[in-house]
Amino acid sequence: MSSYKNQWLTVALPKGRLAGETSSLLVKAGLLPPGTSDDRTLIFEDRENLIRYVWLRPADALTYVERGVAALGIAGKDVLEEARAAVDELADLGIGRCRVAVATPGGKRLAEMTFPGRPIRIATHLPNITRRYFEQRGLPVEVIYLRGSVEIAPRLGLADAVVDIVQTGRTLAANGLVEVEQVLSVTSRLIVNPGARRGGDPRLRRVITAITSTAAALASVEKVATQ
Amino acid sequence: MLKRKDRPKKMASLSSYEGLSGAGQRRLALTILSAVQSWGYREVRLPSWLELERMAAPLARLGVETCKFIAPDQRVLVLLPDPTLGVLANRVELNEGDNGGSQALRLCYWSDAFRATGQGGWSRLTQVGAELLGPSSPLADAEVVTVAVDAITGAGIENFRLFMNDVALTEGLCDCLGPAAAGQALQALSQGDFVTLQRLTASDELLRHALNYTGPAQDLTVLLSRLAESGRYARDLSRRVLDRARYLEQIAALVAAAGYPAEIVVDISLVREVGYYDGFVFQILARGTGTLLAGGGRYDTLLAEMGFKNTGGAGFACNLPELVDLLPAAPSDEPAIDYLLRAATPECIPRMWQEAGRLRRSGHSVTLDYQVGTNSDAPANVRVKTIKIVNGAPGAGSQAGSTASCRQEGADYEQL
Repeated sequence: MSSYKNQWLTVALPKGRLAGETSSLLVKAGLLPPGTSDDRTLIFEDRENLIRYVWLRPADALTYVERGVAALGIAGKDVLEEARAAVDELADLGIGRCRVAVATPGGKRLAEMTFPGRPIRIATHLPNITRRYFEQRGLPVEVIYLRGSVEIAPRLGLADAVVDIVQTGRTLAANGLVEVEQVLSVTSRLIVNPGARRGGDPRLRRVITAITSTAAALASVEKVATQ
Repeated sequence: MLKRKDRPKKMASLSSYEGLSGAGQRRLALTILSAVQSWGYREVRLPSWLELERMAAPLARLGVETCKFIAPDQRVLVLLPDPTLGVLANRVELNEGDNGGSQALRLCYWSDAFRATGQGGWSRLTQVGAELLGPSSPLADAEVVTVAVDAITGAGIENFRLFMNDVALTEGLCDCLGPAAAGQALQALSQGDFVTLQRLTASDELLRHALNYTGPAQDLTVLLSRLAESGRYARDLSRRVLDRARYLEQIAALVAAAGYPAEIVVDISLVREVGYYDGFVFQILARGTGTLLAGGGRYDTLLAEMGFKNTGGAGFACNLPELVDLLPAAPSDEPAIDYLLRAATPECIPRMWQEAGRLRRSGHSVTLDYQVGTNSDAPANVRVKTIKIVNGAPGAGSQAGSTASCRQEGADYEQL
């Protein structure tokens, strides 16, 4: 039988927006060497412990963990809520803070928007989160799925409002949009494949402990600093 | 056959249909079935589809997207999405198994199940499993688990962990949080959201420990005894969770008594994607990788919904592809062939057929090479016989594989 002791343990990390903070956390946790590139080197191998860290698109990192190719990963809460994948969410790492929000041209409230013969059109790259949010609110909307550049959809007449990731709000403002409702507060989460969590690989426990204890220590430092 | 570009999209997306190749899969399935049958389980043949209208409630409880089609008589049919439902549908048809729990009906199967992938395609699961209908007790559940362990070890896999839980136990512990938080906690557990669970249990260390419990069954009983003695929760609720923990402890003790070295772990969070299992549940996972080797549990409510009166049911299934990946040596797909026969000239072909028949009747397996007059390589360990004319009549020569060692098979044949 192939023993897990001779197999790589794979950790899936997000490229892009979350890469910098994620890399910094793993360096502080002693898992990655200082200076490890975030989104240029796509893989770092810890040959001594047979642990490899791979940088992937955030939604793909989730897929790798769900399918068990990666035992562990880091993903934003927005990605988790959108996919509702069968992974276990172990810890809030407190990094990658942002929010999913509704934004409209000029900050017009949704309740004030009426269009004869059609519902409000919402452009988003998070269609599942958007649908659930408006269903819970009891507001009928048409969800228009876009892969990117969501914020220009109202200006071009494709949509009446957007649901998008907001960090500083500058991109929205540059396109004449104002945040009117918060849909979801987002931070990065440590995720694990449920089977791998139960598999008993001691390397997995070590990596989880290193990441969660470092994240907790950084959070307490941040808390003291803000007091 | 349709060309690739002409194929309907859905047919093209049925990529997993072929699955494992036939012979290796069959050998593995038969090995597992043999282990299951040694407990007295009878193999049954399952229907290929179910009638949606008659099986609506069980299908809803299963909670997967099914592959539907419409019969000529306008009935909506569903390709069998889960073998257990096929077993139960057959029992309803045969009016068998509904004996009020007085007698055990032991059934096993080797079947395909079809599900929609949600991306416009279908997928096929090949499963071997068993169902124990009738008694509802720790003994019955322990039997199902031990049969599953037997099946896994019978297939040659020995390095695994056994996880078990009782859905009612997890629900009871969530109820201890009070009506407002109970639903949220159960939802968090069913989604694997331990962040929300930590938040909901932040003010109750004992309950937080219980809802995150992973460990031996007897230690859980001790923990829940403390929880009951704390007096913080309604007495009937405390007793209910403690009873379920003792139930698990009995099962763990019985499975351990069967003599397997497998680690037996109770995991309170084992409530995700359990489908129709509403009581005892278990999973057998490969140690380290955590690959799911077998899973099962008790489905008494499902049986009641299907009209069985006071009859319990529990079962398990193994997914064959996952098992194959973990076997010490993958089962071979090559058939065992003793002889490869060739004709030296076209005139020798009838004699080649005659000789093949003679060899098969004498207990050998024989395959034919229709490339007349060639001497291409034969697989290792296969004897090659070339039929040729000897003294005006077709004869045959033989050689072992491609080596020089030859073996005379009959007086009429000449060695090559």
